[in-house]
Amino acid sequence: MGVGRLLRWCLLHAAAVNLNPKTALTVPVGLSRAGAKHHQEVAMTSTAAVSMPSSEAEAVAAVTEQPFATVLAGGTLLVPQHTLGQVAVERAVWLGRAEMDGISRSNGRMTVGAAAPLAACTRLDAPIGPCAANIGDNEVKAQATIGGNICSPAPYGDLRGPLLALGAILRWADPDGTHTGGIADFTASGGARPGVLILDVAFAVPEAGSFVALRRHHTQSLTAMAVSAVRGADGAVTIAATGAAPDACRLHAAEAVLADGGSIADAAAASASDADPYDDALASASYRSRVLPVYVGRALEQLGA
Amino acid sequence: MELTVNSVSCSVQSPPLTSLLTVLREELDITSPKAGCESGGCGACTVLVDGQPRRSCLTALCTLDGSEVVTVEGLGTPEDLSRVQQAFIHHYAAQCGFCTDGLIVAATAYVGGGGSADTGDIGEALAGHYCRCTGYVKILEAVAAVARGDTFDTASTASSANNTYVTIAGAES
Repeated sequence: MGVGRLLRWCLLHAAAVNLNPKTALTVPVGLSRAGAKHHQEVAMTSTAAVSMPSSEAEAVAAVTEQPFATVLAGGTLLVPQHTLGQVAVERAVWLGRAEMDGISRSNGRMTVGAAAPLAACTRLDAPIGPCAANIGDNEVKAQATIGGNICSPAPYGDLRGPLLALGAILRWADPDGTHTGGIADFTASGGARPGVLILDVAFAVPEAGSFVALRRHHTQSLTAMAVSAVRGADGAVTIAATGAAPDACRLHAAEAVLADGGSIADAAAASASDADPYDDALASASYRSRVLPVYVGRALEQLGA
Repeated sequence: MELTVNSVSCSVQSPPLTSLLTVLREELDITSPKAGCESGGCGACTVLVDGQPRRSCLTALCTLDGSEVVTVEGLGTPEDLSRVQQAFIHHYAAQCGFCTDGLIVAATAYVGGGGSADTGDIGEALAGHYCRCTGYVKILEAVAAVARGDTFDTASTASSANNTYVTIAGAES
């Protein structure tokens, strides 16, 4: 914190102490820790208003009216970004009371409400269930939602891989109305931004599914690479990966090898042609290139392809 | 916004998107939840919200109206420590102490929910908590002891508890 910000914070905090005496708690507000304080200046002076709709329709209206609102679902990304001053929020809509967290199965299709917590998604079959279980820790899974995960860029957004493999269809609302489409369509439409609300995601229950991810130490909450594979009712195999390219991607060449009767090894070798390896703090492009075929092979073996 | 914090009802004034961690530390001056990574990754800010462990740094104040929040201050007193607190002392499960408050809160929820004494289960339940002193073995032993129903020598525990108070000038929080 710069000297200017520190001084401004001290002034703000002193004002807060004077204006907001706490009568219920006996502990005094102290200024002795002022030197250790940081970021909170942003959050404690935020003027963002938050509305709390009680239905999906109310949520759509609240998000899409001017000025467009930012969606607050689990808050596992938005709240820390807001605390650190990395995102400006003029207006927010919290989905916690909008009854958008249902998970249902009908006519061979699963429909998952956008506000369904990852903890509930862990109970779904592969590849969704094990992927959700692999995200974060118990406390994060209890709070984070499938809709928020879909909206999150790499290295978050783990569920975009399984959902791509499943050919999942999103339903989302924006000021122009309600739309349906795949994850790529949602991204092409502009993706997550104020004024846009994912409503739910639906997919056909597959014949079989598999999910493999690079193991990570418990102190590393992000997954460098994961591969999802799905065998549909028609026997066709679809494969998708996160961490092989800057965004989740389908591995069409590997799928084509399998469709032509090729082996798992051949399919794994072909996976590189759909990858766009990149460097980041989790793994180098070189490493990603080398492990992708290994994990494609493991996912297909687990699938029984 | 009305909150009950450690059985004391209070009216908080922070803006609605303020994190619970900020509210606790900066408005209510409850400093046991630590501002570690402030992005949900380290577990040091864990508190109980309506009995469930939650990352206070990830939890917006507006989602908590009417909720009951418990921090480690609400679990016991120096004279009457909770069983998990006693176990942490008895098994030397605290080193620098930065992660300890979050771990005790999460362990309290784990054993309160009928969690087993299996260290694998405990490790999974507490996986989101980092101890940079790497004192995990003692932490697992302490939680397993509580889950097993071990009794702790209260006289010895009290003595140990008294011995844990070390005053370091300028380090009051």
